[in-house]
Amino acid sequence: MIEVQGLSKRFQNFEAVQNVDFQVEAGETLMLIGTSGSGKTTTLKMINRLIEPSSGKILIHGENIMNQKPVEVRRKIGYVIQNVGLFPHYTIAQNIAVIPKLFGWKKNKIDDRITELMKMLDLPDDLQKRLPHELSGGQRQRVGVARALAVNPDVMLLDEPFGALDPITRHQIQYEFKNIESLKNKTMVMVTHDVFEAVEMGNKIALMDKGQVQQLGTPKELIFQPKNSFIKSFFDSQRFELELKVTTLKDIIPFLKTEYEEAQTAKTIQFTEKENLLTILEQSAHIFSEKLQIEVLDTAKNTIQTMPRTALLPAFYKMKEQYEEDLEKLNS
Amino acid sequence: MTLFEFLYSRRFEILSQTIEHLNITLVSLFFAIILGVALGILLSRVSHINAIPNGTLGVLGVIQTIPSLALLGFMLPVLGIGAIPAIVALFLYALLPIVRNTYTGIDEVDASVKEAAKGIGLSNLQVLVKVELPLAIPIIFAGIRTAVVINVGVATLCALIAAGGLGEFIFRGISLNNANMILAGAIPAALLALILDSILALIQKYIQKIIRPVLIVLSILMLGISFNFAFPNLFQEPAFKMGFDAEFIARPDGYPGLKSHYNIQANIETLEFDSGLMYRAVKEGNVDLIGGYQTDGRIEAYNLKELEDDKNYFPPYYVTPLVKAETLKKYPELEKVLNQLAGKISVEKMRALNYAVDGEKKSPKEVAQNFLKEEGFSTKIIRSGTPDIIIGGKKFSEQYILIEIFKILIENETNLTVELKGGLGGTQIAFEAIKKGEIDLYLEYTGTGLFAILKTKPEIYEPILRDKEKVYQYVKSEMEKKYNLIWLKPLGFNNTYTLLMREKDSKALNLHTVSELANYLNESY
Repeated sequence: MIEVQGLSKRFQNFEAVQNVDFQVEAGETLMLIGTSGSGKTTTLKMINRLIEPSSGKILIHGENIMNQKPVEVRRKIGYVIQNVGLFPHYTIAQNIAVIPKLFGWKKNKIDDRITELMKMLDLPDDLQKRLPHELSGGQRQRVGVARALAVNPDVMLLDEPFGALDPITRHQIQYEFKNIESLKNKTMVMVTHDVFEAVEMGNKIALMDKGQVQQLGTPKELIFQPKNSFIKSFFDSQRFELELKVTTLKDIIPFLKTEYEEAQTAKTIQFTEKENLLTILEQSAHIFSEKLQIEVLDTAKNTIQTMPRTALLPAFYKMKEQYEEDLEKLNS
Repeated sequence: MTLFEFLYSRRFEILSQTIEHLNITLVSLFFAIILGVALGILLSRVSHINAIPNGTLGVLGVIQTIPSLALLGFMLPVLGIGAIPAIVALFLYALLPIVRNTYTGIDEVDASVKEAAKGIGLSNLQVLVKVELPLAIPIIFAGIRTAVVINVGVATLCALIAAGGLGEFIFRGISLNNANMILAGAIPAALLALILDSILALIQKYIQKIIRPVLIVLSILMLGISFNFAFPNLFQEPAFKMGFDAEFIARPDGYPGLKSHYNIQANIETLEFDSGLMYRAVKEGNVDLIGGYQTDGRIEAYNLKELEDDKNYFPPYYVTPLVKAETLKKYPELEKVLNQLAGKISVEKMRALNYAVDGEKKSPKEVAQNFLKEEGFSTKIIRSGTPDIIIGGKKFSEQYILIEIFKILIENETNLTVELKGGLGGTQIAFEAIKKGEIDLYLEYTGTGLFAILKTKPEIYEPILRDKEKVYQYVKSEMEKKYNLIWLKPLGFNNTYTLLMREKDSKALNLHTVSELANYLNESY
């Protein structure tokens, strides 16, 4: 668990970070998002003391990191950056082995761990002896993650880890990254300026502007219940897609009409109720039938509910109406 | 004698000079690498305060621009002569490329690599040793290799402060007008630079694997050599030391002839010097005796005592304008104008003029003007622009003054415009320049013409050597025949060699003539 309390950083006359508070529970991912110069990277770098705070407190697992040596704080935290920063004169295996060696691991243990990580990150084993410049951008980024995971830290800090990749590779690695088993229980803070990445990867989002956290909440909260006009406008350019993205089948089920005609010849696709609407629409986009049926699997009750695809958006709009009514009530 | 024969006949001397050269170069380089890399690393630690690295590199850059001889001259009073000041000078020259490349190499390591290294938990020292230095190695080595090449080159100049090395051959060759001898120094020096550079290239390639053994071996070797340099006379009594310039050491009418003429049996250490630095060296006590020139102003300024040439050894060196025949044909008025000075300048007069420049720090031009005014010549006209006549001069005060005198005289008495090219480094350079027509006129000494230019054989010069008129007539006719160059009339003074000691030593040892010196040396050593 990471607790940040009243964190500020002043560079000469410039307040880069002002009085930031947040808490990342164990196993959660917090996304720091904002425009350039909003203080998100500075905030991240204070968590492993690459930048020393001017004031405020950072606790990791309840311990104040200011009472520990910076080098030791960093060794216990996985760190991934946009340009990866692999050591160009080390082979891939040597790059991954840097921190295990500093911890004094035996050679066998290191070798096993490297092989394990290479497999986990879907890197061919024969890359071990290669130098970083011989790898593709996506492979290098995976090695960067492997290096960060080498000593299996519980906390990971990621500074725009996918920012330098082309869109296709980025999507693929984001997808893989979400599904890496040993990452699922890590406590992570990730900086990004990509709103989709923030929504996709984060349990919580802290939207920063001018050094301050403007709103901290779940992706759904930020998009449907923005606290101020800055936050609203931040998502406006891609609002529709983002709204679909944060809305799951489960969210719209209460707003469906109760009965639908069953189409005899219709095709069906099955999704779990946790799936978001954007993915469903994307994945079914190649089927042109108006009669396409969506089967919703309720994993808890193990029941299946069926609805036509055409019912999704009406239900979604109803849900939005409800949100707006709630907001108005709240304001009045 | 072909070049190959010459090299072969001098192979032992070449070898020993090469080893001296190598020693000076390597020791200076060793310390420059240790200090330079350390300084470069330190600068890279404070690279966020721009002023510190920029300032430091600026200072080193300024050192780099100090001409080598000037630097050696500055250090003479503090460090004396020989290998130590040579090593210090080379060390200073080697610093800039090494410091700059170390600093730049580290500074330019990819920022994301540095950030990642720090971010994953390497300490500052680990970032330096594991990441920054290995990645900066190619650039650091490029700096070291630049320094090596510079050092091998500059080390030739160290022959001028008695540090030995291949420069000895080069400077003797230049003063004797002997191309083979120049090459005997230049070829090994060039090879040395190439070989050292290749060895460094090899080390660079395998540095990761061999860094430790290489460092250990080098350190031991260098400490040994440096110790040897620092205390060369640790187990020897202080001896009588003599300093001569390359010309005097090599020429038949120089030290070799002196030894046999005065029958000096003792084997005295002779050190080779730049003729300009020699006087300071004897003044500062780095040597006990030098072979100087009679007209030098510093003889009086430094309280030096001339030993009388009682057995009449030194040949006449009457300074005389040497002019191209074509120039005289084109401007016939020149001969009359220049001959006005014939016999006008005595040794005492020349010494005073030299002292005005060397001791009183006046400009040669000012001294020249004052002299001409005293002699009743007009000095009003000063011309510039496209020259009709170019006058060359060698690189010592006397010639700087005399060519200024000539310029003023010619420009005031004729309509010709004169350009001066002073500072020609040695007889060969001046003589080649007039032969090729790059200059029209320069001042040469009769003895130099006899030995260095005409390379006269003993059977010819022996009978005429003690007679200044015969020597003058001989070189005059030979030079016109062989090179179509005309000797005008001598200016009057004889600037021959003279042996000089500190006055108090001369009194203490009761030495006043060269014969007394010979006796003293033969008895004492």
